[in-house]
Amino acid sequence: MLARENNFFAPRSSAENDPSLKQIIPYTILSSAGKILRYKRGKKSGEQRLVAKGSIGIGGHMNDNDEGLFALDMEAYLAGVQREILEELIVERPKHTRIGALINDDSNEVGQVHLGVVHIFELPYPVAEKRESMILNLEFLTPEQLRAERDTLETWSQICVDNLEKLLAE
Amino acid sequence: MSISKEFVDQLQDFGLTSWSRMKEEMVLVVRRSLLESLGMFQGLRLM
Repeated sequence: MLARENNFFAPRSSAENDPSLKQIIPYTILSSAGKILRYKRGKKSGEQRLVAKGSIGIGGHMNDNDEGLFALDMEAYLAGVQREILEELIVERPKHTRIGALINDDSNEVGQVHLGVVHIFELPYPVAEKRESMILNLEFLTPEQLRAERDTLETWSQICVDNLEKLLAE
Repeated sequence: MSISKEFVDQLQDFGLTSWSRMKEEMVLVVRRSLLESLGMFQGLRLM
């Protein structure tokens, strides 16, 4: 699916209203020592529908920042994912990264036009600092703590929390 | 009535600036039909 011939860039305004297209959203879970990073989206968050929700996924739309780009191969895509994280957080270089799952939620209008690609980044230490003001209440939590606050999380994070053991298993 | 080159240049500059401001955000997408051909799912699919 992430092969160059399968994706392309489209104007966001039309993609937001076209269920025949799925906008690819990298959704990176940062884990370390059995804990997972959780943050809350502040008012300056780009996606107003998610403000004040808790989240365990870092990421956003992949844009055609590079002039003349019509599609992405896996290498360019992964570089974009890394860039997204470094724009929002200060973290150590991950020990290990992998794609863990896809999220598709057609149960609501927002989910109908987005597709989440869940990345797992294993950090050497459970330490992260925010770089973006939209990121609030950064905290590494155990799976039990995350399950306890499941109802405060955005939908995609709830789906991930419901499958954490499988997602984090190598 | 003739139009000066300076005026034409100003018009072109204005047009390019406006176009740049209006340039729409482009986002990476896949077709839903591709997902359907791979087997559509609801929720999470491990990879």
